[in-house]
Amino acid sequence: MIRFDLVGARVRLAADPEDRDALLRLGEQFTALLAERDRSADSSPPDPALARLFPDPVPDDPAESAEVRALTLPALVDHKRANAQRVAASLTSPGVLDERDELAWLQWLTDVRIVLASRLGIVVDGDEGASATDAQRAMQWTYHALGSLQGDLLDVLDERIAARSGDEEPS
Amino acid sequence: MAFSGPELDEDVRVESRSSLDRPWRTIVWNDPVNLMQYVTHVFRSYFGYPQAEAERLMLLVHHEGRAVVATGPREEVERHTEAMHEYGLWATADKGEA
Repeated sequence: MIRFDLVGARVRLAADPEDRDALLRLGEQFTALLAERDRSADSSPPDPALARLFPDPVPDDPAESAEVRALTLPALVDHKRANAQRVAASLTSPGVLDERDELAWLQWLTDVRIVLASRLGIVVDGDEGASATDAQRAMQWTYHALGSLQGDLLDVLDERIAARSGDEEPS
Repeated sequence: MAFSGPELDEDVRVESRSSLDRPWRTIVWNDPVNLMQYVTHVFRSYFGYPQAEAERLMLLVHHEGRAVVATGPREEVERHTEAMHEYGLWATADKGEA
């Protein structure tokens, strides 16, 4: 069980050992995938998950796109790696998150779901994804569980916004 | 053939990169992964759009397949596009329609 709770104006993370270890393993796999992107000198990597994580920025103009990519890709890969490190650190010693941690969680959950969706062949709205093998069914379960976890975190963040705007109303 | 040369290519290239005639734009495309609540959250927290505008743009992405979320000079639009990639949204930059 992973929980996000609002404590005053901060988000507190709680994680049981089993889910913590599962997420840490996903984090390691995600970081390994980013290392593959680092190694790939090719501007468009063959792995479709990497292609979706790092989309062509200016598809109408290949020369411009290559230029933008050369300037921004290393920082973008580093940003995603830093998110994964923050998430892992907060899982290892759970407690109150700072705002950069909150952002890291939101973005990392998205990135991992993008990779799972790509592996399962979830390409357009309504795709359920492959479910022929136990491994695929497990992956599908994780995909939905991470979506639900992200929904929990967004609910808590919305709750905080509502509380803040309530404070600003004249009494 | 005597008239073909680099000058003409350079003119075309300069014209295509200019932001003076029409602005560049950041487009966010629909994808099956991102939750509607998340996309709305990104538009509100990154661009600072009010909740109603963030939801309108999110629904455009969802129903029409794409929405223009920012317009402006090329560098600014490319920066926004990269930021969308940080959030895992599928975004591209283009020059807009004449």
